[in-house]
Amino acid sequence: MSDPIVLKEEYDVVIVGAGASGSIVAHQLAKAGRKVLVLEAGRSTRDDEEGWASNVDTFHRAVAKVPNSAFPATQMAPQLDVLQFHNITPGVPDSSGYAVQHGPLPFGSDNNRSKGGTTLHWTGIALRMLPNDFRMQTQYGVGVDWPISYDDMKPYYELAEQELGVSGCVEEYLIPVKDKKKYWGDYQYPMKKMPQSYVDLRLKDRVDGLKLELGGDDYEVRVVPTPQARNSDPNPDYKDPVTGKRGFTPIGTQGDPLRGERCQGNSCCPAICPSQAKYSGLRSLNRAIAAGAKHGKPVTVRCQSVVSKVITDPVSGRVTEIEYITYEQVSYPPPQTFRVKANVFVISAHSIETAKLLLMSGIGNSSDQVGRNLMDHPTMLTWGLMPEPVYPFRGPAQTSAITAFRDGAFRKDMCAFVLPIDNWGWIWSSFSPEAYVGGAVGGGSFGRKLRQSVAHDVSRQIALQWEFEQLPDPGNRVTIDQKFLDPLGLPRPQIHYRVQDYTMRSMEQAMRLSAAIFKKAGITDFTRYQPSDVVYTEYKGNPYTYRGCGHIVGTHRMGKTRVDSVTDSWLRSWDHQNLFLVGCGAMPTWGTSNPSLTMSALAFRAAEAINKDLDKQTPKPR
Amino acid sequence: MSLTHKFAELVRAIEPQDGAAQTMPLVPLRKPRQIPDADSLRDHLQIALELELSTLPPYLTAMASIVDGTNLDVSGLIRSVMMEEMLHMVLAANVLNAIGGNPVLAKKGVAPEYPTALPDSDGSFLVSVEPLSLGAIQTFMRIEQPTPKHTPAKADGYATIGQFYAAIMEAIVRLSKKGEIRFDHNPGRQVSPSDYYNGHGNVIRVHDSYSAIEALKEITHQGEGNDDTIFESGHVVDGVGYELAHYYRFMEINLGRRFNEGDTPESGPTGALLPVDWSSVKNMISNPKRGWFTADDPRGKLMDECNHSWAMLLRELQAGFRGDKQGIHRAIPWMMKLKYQAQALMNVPSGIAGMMLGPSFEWPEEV
Amino acid sequence: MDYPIDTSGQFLAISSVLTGFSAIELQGTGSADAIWATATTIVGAPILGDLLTDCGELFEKSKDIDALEAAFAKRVIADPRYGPVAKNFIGAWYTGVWAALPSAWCDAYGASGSDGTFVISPTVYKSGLQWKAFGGTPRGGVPTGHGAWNRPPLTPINTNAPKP
Repeated sequence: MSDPIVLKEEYDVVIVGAGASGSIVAHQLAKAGRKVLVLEAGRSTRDDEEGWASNVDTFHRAVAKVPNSAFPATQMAPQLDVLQFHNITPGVPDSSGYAVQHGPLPFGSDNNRSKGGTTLHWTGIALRMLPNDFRMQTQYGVGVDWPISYDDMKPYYELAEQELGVSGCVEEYLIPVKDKKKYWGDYQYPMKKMPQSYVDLRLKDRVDGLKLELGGDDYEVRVVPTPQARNSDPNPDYKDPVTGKRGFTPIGTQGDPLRGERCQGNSCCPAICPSQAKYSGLRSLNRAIAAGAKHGKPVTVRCQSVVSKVITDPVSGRVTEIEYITYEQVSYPPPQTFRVKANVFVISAHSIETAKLLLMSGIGNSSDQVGRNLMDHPTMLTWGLMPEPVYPFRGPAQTSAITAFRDGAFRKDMCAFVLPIDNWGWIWSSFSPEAYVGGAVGGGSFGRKLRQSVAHDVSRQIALQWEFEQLPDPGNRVTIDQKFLDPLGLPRPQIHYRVQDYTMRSMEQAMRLSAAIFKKAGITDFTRYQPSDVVYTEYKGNPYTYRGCGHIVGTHRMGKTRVDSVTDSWLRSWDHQNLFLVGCGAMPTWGTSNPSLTMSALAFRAAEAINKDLDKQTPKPR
Repeated sequence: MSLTHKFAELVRAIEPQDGAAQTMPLVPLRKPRQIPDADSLRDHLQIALELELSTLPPYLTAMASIVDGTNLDVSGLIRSVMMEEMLHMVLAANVLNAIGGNPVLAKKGVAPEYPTALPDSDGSFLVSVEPLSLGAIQTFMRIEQPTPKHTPAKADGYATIGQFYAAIMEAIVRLSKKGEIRFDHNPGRQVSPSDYYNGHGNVIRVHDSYSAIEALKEITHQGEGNDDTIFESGHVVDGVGYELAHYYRFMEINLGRRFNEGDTPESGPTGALLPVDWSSVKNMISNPKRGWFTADDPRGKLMDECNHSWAMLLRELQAGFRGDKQGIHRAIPWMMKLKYQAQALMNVPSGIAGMMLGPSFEWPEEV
Repeated sequence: MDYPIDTSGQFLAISSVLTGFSAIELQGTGSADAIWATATTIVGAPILGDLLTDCGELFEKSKDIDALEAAFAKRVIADPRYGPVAKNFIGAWYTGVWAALPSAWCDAYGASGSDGTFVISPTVYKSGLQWKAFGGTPRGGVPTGHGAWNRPPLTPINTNAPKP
């Protein structure tokens, strides 16, 4: 590769990664009149009306419709993909995908490297963490405490819920929190709850009030509507946290401003929202660009630009510049290396790539925590047939959950978990309805009998998702190895991953609890785990299959001290005062909340700190 | 030829050319110019509802006739207009309810049979249920045509929708001043912004003459523009908010070019090209009728199912306008279904001249 | 498009028997041409022509739909030459996906370079009968409208168990 070209243009802030966290930071900085450059490794996602439709088209043309189907990776900047994951033979790392998986179990979640980032393919569930999730060590003697509490996070949650556009019902979202008044205050979500599905309502009818024992305590089953970053009817009682004004106007996330005011029930949320009613980082990025234009300091977004190195000054410890490689998707012209200077640098490339970049640059790791404590929500499915048709495969992916086990005394011994109810039948457990039809036709069924059996069985399909908390484990980590390089010559992520007994103990209990719920609901159980499933494991001689939840967390955790964490609570690197690491990787623990909302709240916090830091500096003449 | 000239020429070109339209007798001015009293005002607001309703089938059919995956911009433009016509029904119903009326939609004869003149209009042109074509778009422009300045308000036998609404607004101001109407009837029936959504229009709750006028202005501005501009008076969200009036949205399709922000009615559109693929349209026969087929003909039954959805859409809307707010929420899925059923019909040969069937929007016998 | 014989009638008729959907329901999807064209490219006219001809005979000989289905089970579904093709027709109508033909079938009749497992087209996917059969929403592009999912589908579905 040729010598780096040093950009003449200097910036207040360079942001690595145009996903939700980078875009939220970019927007907050642009509003303060900062000059911002955003570098994105992947494609510049088309988000105009026609372009968005072409992404939907890409999704439709994929035989296996998986989270990344609508936004495939470029050849030069590959991404993790669920279709790459396999069970690992002990001692033989699986290098067939982009990440080299060392196991013992495969890490089952994928990310997306495109403008918009992994929020291009998220389901949109937007849960706040519970107070005890922030103090696991103090409360339950496991994991670590956060350097900040739920109360510290509350105002930032409100900002995030406004930015993402969360629909939900405070009164109906029952959670195991002692002081609800303190938890919510007089808060109302921007939009009313997403209508619960017919599946939810039928299950609710049958199981609400069921008492289940766990760790010696009784927990009551309630099917409650899940808060989500998807447009629903506006809540006239919502109070804008910034202006104090009442009410909310739902708008489409990107593309045609006339679209997306409400979820239309396209039933393909994780992969792409054709009606543009689900939040993605593109909204925040577009807002950043608009704010930059308004202040006469354009926010520059450069895609197909992979950051390869963060360069620091050995004396001051400050980051001085970063190096990035631009590439084309054809062989000529060849990739070109650039360097760019700025006052502050933000790395927001999602947990795996952010950790990888720090390790590649040999920086920020005096704590030896970079890349460690990688976590997911291992998700076990139990599935069966309801005694009556519940008409699944309609509406958004999930609208309700059973939340009783999100917290409790049992967390001393085993992990918390949450049970979303899948609105799409057996899609996740067995790729229904395609696989159902394939199986029936393969077995010789056809004609009226085929039609009737699809109508009878698929209309009754139901599945519970058991999403289990994981604790930080230093052995679960991302490393690099110069033996394994991507097409640009940069190291591919090496992933070491296992599921601790703390989590497996809850999986074991879950089998019992699932059976009790199924019995109460009259569900005929079809759950079956077999060694050919990805990911298959055994615990105390019993089989378990779990899946990655797409929640990739923990590789550059924040903390109270520089000894055991990578950043302070403002996501500022302990080692490099002008380097901020923003994203899901910052979270030391995270209970049973889907990470994106907390990640977004943290992005608002980091942006506030960056703006303060920049304000303190004497303005440099330009 | 400059765009302005082209524009002027095309506006001339959309004067009625249809033989049928020209031979239609003009409705004589048998009624007084002014709406005399509260009862007559309620009648005219019911006609306003019917007028807005009568535009749904043509717009929906044109949109449904576009081959899947093609003409996305055109389809988006028509969809946005159609959703705002629904908003207009909501607004007209809010005014009608406030002054003590009772909106009627789910009844034989409320929705017209196509082809039709606009309800209570001068009958100078006919509207058809037909696939997308240049002619269809020009008819749509005629529907939404702006009212020239200083044109008198006209409640009956109007030439433009603006004239009609001007007469209603005049009556509202006059009759409320005289104390002949009040706006406090059935407040529970007022549809609010959280009950209906569309584009950037405002759902205005009507409780006095001022809000009644606001609601009616919203209708006319969205249709024909606001005080000599091409834009309607939508609100601004996230930096995006100005929106073309319906007439000018159709003009974009007609001329195959987008408007720029600084454009005026005189300049015509000077923005980017808007390519329209007129051939990617289903070969649907215009104004199909259920009566063409016997009772048990599968094609007729398919049309029955489509008409059932049409009736359900009207029933749910009517419920929504009569206090059952969820009715509006329930109506939208019927409209979606109606579109899919219309598309299915457009894949079924009619047996006539190699053309395909389509929706007929007839009030089903069984309801 | 070049068809070996008229498909509008015969292909819809055999597809109706194979899928359990009426000819007009199939016609309404608008997928017939795309599915037939795919099969023509991959399977070839001679086999398809024979299939239509032989099926035509079954139609003539069968006194009712029960007899017709029984005849199809024996002479089409279980037939080594027609079975995999017929199953692919069902799969295409239901899921929008053409599945690569089995290797044994290819050994006997040859594999087209165009064969493979692929989505015939986004439109055919969205019109898939699998969704219509139980009232589900295809993934993307056929929205139901806000909140429609908290009630049963607008189109009533017969969800009774099939006769054994």
